[in-house]
Amino acid sequence: MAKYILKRLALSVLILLGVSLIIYVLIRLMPVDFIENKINQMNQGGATIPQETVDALYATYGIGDDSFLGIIQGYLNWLLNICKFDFGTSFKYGLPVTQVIASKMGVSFAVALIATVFEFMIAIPLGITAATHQYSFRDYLTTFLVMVGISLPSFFFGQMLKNIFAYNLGWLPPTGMVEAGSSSVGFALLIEYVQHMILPILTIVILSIGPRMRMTRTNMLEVMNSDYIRTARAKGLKESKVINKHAFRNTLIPLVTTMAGLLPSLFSGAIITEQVFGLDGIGNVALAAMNEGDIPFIMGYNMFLALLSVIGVLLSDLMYAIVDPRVKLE
Amino acid sequence: MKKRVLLSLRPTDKKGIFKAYIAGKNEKADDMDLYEVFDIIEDIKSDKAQVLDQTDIDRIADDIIADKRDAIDPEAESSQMAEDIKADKQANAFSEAEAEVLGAYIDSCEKDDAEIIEEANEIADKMNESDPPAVEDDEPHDKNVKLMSPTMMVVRRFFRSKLSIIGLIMVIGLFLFSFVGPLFYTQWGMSEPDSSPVTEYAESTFTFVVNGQTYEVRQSTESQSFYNTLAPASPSHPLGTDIEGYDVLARLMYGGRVSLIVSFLAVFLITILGVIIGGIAGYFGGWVDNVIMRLCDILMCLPGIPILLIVGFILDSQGFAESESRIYLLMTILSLISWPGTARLVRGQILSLREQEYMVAAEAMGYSAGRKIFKHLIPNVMPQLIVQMSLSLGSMILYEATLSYLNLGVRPPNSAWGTMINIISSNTDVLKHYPLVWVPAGICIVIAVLGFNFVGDGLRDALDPKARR
Repeated sequence: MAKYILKRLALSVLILLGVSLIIYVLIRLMPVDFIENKINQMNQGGATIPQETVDALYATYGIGDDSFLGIIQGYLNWLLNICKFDFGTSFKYGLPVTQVIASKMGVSFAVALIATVFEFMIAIPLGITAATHQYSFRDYLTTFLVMVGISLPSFFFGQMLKNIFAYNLGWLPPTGMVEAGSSSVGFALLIEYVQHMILPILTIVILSIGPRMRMTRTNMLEVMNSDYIRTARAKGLKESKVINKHAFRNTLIPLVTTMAGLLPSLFSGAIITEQVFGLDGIGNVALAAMNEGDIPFIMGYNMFLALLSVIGVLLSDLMYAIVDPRVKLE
Repeated sequence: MKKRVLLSLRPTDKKGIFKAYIAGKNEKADDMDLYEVFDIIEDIKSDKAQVLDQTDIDRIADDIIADKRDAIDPEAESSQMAEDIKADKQANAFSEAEAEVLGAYIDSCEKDDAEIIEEANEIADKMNESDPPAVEDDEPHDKNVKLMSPTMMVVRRFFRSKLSIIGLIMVIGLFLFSFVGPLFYTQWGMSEPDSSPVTEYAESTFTFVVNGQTYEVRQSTESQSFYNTLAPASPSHPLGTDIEGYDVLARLMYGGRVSLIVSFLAVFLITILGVIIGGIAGYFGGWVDNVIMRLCDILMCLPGIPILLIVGFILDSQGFAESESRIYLLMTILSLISWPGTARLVRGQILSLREQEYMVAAEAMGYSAGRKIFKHLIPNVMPQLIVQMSLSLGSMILYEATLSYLNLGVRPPNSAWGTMINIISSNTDVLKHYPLVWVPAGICIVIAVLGFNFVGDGLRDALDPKARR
């Protein structure tokens, strides 16, 4: 086990190195005067980017030195800084990138966590009924609805919800985290948060429920065809017991592993949904930063996402081995 | 005679069908001995169990065996054969002429040479006059027999599912709408504003207080707008106009062209890259496989949209900011980082196919690696590949729409479905009061993605019926 974990960790480091190389190459493909233009634009737009920040950026990325040695040196320098968790200073916020990411992560995580809980709570029962009533009307209906969910573009669906429930019916607030100029505290503030979170969470849940439900259904079908289910039925167990105790427990294996893989991605933020509902989460912040050309932030955000997905893969592999004793680690 | 597969049978005259099947297997059914017949019956029992029910099979098998036993009687044999062949000539899918030749051959045992030659000449003449039998061979002669090639069976299974038919209709409808539509709907072009001036009235009130007295001033302004913007639906603009005065319906059609073409190109690129790279990894194994799989891991960890945002910057800096080819370049780069999914699929399949007997045979024949990969392995991965392609078409359309919605992809005045929705991200007025401007584009995206997903699902079930059971 220890050997396996070590091997996987080494592999993850290798993957991160590869990702960092690609991201570094991407930023070096931008011409210097383009970066300068962007900085000037931001300065004119009201931001004040101190010259030291710009110099620090140039120094860390080795921008300006286009010789082969310069690029290699720039990459190594940048890598060294990353190892120290130093992604430079964000142009837009004037704070270290890591600090900006850390401060915005909470909102995204809260939204994603609640959405994921709902998603599993709805998707698992749906998947099970679809599987136990295979080829019935119920099966086709859930499959159809789930397909529609997969096919909806998040921006379109989010805007539709916003238009209907916020603007036309006026039941829920359209954007933001709290009412503009709100001064509520304590419980009232919590209520306000909840009201603002309903639509974004609804969007995320409906859009992501499909794959989860399909997975449950496929696994359930597979389990239902196995010998021990026949045995359970043959010895006269109640159908509900067969399904809940024998079949469902075994479909949990893939579900738990995906859950573990999902955990890190909860921090990454839903770019589009957050943009549509104006949430102050990391996805929306990153989108704004990218549109304005906040290069240190973009680089940091991309590395952050890559790190999260590497951890996700690692966790789900390990979880698989822990949950299912039949899996042998090599 | 081509090898055919029997599919659905009507209950009448199953004996004939059975014989037809045996004939299909072994050119001349009646030359077989009893043991061969037994073998084939076993075969049919295992293969065709779903088609015929068990009692039928047994009854028919008994019939045939009884026939055979009779036929073993040496005297009865030749006349029996002649009768059988004449009776079965249609079931056997022999042409009339062929059957007569055979009949003549059997009769010949009892005739003298001169007669035979005469008859043979007659038959030969007949055959020359009649059409070549090859054409008839493709048509089932017995009404009870339905002959189907494997492709036909896939098509049939595909069309049996209602969802896949709906999906196909959706996709074809959108293609017609985008590619044929503009040929008939010619009033407006993609970026041709309706420049009929419209008079707009605006009213504003403001109040002020002088010496404790409140005055209210109502100001009414009349202005001439240059373009007929945000027009409601009317005969000249079935879906109204957007904020620039462009006709929404025309933009939907032209936008569909871009969205569909771009997604197709991206999917083809991903498939080609995935097949080549995955094929190499799966076939060679060892360190080649290792390197490629690590590369896949790296690419799979790259965040899609944020990376494309950076790439969008680079394209801007290289002077592609307003270019029409921008979206093509973006989607090319998206393909360059999205091939690992396909590559993994191909690799996995090839790893299992590599161990099959026919690959050992190919090895023994001394074929080159390229021939083995692309002629023997890839065709066997095709079913899964086709399914993967149709499903990823949907996701590519979503990607393209998202990019255009974020103003990264197609930018105005060019049109794409995502671009048409982009306006509401900054303009709440349009979002609230002019749904005709953006809702149709969203519906088109949903229809396209849904259609491709339904077709993909249907194809999966049709190509691999075992997967669902």
